[in-house]
Amino acid sequence: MSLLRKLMVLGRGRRGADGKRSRRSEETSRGSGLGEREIPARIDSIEAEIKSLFGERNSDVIMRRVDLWTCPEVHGLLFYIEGLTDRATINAFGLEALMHGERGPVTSPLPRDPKLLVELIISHLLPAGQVSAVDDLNKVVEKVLTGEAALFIQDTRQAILFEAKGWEHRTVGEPSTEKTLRGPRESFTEVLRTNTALVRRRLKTPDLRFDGTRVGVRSKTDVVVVYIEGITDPQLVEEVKMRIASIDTDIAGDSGIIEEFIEDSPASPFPQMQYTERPDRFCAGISEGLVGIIVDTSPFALMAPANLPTFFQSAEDFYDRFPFAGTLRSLRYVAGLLALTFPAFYVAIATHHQEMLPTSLALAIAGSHLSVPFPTIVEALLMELALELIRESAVRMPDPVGQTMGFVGALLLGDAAVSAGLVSPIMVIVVAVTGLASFSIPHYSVSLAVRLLRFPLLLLASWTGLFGLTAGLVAIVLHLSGLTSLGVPYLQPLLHTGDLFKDVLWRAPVFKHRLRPGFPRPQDRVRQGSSNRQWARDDQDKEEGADGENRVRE
Amino acid sequence: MARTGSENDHIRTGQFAVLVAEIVFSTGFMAVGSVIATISESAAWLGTLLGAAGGLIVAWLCGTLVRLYPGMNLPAIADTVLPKALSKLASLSFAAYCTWLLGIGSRQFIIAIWIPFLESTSPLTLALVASAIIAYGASLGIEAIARASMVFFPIALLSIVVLAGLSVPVAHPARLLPIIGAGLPELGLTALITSAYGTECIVGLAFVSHLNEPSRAGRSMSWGVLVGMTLMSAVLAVATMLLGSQGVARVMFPAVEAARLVGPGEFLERSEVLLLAIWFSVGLLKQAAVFHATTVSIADALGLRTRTPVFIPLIVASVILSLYPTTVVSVLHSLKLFQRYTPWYALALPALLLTASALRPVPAEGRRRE
Repeated sequence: MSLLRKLMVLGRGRRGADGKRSRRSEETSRGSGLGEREIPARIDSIEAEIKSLFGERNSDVIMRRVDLWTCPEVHGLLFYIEGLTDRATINAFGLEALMHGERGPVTSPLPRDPKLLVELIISHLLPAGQVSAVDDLNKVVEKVLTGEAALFIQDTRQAILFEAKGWEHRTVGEPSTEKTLRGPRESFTEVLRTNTALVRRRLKTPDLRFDGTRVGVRSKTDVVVVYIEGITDPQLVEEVKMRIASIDTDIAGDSGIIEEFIEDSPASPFPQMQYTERPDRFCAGISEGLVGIIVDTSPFALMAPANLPTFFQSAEDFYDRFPFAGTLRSLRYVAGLLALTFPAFYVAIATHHQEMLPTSLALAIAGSHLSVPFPTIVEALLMELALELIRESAVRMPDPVGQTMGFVGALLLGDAAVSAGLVSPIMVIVVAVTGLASFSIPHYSVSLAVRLLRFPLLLLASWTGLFGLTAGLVAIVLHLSGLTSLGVPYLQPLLHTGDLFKDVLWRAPVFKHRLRPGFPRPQDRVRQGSSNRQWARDDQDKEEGADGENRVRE
Repeated sequence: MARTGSENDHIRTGQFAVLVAEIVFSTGFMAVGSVIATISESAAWLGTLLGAAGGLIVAWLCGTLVRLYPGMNLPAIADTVLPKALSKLASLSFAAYCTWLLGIGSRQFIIAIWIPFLESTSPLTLALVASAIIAYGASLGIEAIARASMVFFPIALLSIVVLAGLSVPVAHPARLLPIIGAGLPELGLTALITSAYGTECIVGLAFVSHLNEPSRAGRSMSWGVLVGMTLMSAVLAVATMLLGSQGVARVMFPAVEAARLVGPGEFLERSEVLLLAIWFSVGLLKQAAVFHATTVSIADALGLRTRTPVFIPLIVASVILSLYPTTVVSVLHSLKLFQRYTPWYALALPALLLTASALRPVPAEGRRRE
């Protein structure tokens, strides 16, 4: 019987008069409340009860009996989980402070009143930062499972919890999925507090909110909703909190799981939330009025609402100079379109619309296809499938091997397939260009959607040529038009022609971004004053003034 | 009242105007010339432009109706102002009109695509693919269709500009002379015939309940009619300059034939397939909007709570209607019937509703749907 089930059974878990578990108790057992459980008076009983909860063979559950150095007749029990706590903290602030104090006696004799005794220990014997007294054993267990240590004192029926968290974790490193040439090199880690600190370090405003909750009956994962009071639309924040609160699951170990629970249309291939491992990108989103979600144990934070153009933006867009950043962004849209339609376009033309091509090109395609025994669509599907297999296997390999695998696999496979007469060289080129284009999409989740949708488009193109491809594109756009993220239309920025060349298809200079994007309905739309680059305007005015004077003199 | 896709659908007046322009323009422009060029010859394009007047009258009537009954669509207005039996008849006749539009539009596209470009593909496959996309769009609701139209309609508009631009080296502007063609009576007749396309804007009455500013429905509809008919006229003018009025009268799809004569140069020969594919995209969206209007009208007339039961029969009908009639002559005949009769229906329906509204005034509080 697992620990939490025992807790549920011991804590409450009532059955109805007919012996069946009532709906209420079912909800209680899956929900947050385990009920209260009194702490036994005797240390032996406490130890026995903890053992009954955790089992006899849990080697990481540590229960250490202590006698206070000030008064050896006061017995205590230190209870913590090894690995979740910092050994040095336990030794220094727990064991050493309790058993080897160097100061004189606190008071003599120690108070008999349990409450006073606990208060005295907290104020004089435990030099830890966060300390609290608790009289509910279930709560003690819950806290100890998050890395705190508990000290039970005989006959007090209370436990003193003190902060001792300290587990092995990855340090802040470089982002692995959102690499940039220019800009910060920090990425989120699996530790919630490290991540919140990374955000706080970039947004030093008291309006920044980290609204915490727990998700997962068994995992009890800490989830933090991040927003800026005064900028983020409160309705969006409430919507996110409501959706998170409605999650009823055992384990929510990653932001991806939370995302699937709370997104508007889980069946859509397109992501409706941005995920990022870059604190700078996360902070930029939050400061635009998005709602962020940071999940403990996940190095990827979520941001919502999202829309299609946000997935074609890279963090680097705002670190490079705008002419290059804007051009690269436009290129990414072209790449996205190529990745989606190029093979289908080729199949449509090669199968149904050869008359479109100049004679020399049509002959070259026909010539290259002479030795291939399959129709163009089979050829295309084979190559696409091979490309997907190479890509998938390269992802699973260790980094250096994976990269080599990708290149060598693609080269060898393409060359071998052409030599064997299974595919035409032109098809290899088409698939290679498609692969490159799909790598240019900055967000992996959108790249996945594009890869998935390429296959139905291929089939439509092979059946009904360019008209099938058009029909497929219309279906995709219709789908995107009906899609929402937290109720915000997915294509919204694309349909506002005024913003298209500001921060959608192109990126205008940063000082032109006076207003925040409108789609998250920020409470405060102005993000920049109008005095930016005033000096440049002043200089221009002076020059024009001087020119005017010269002309008058002349 | 049947659920119309999503009850929460909202469309802006700009989107509504684009939607109306798409409905007016997207399918009719391909074949309109072949019918009217025999009547008014070189003035076919002018007749088409004048045909916008019929659409503008319908738009005005519809706008007045929407101002009187904001938040209601055609079946709801009919329910409010007409006796029950007559109201059902109005809704069902509107559904029949929309089904006719659906059939005639789909059939034209299937013929335009199948014979010159996809002879090796079964027309049934084409019809199935098109009907699936149309039904999918209709199931998503009018808001999704309106947004998708905002993406594809500008592309179609651009394609017309490109067609006009590419035609400059090979066009003969003198073929547009004499400006009144065969004469004023013929020009008038042409305007009357082409008003069938302008009056298609009545389909918009099925979506007006989703408008964020109902008071501007009439103006948006008028803009849609004007843009749609102007585009249609422009395409016909280009076709006339390229093919001559006799050439336009000889072919079924003058727009496609005109596109065949122009090309961007050596790289893409026969680029008309690209233009036709672009026009096909807006055609599909128009058909989705019409499909949506049909399902709403039928569901409301039959008192169904959802549109779902109407979907499958209508998809089957849409597939069948896109495959028949089988000969080009019969298709042209059905087109002529459409041009002759539907403008009167489109004028009569809102006029009837307005008259009924005037004769049987309803209390102000009854005019607003919850």
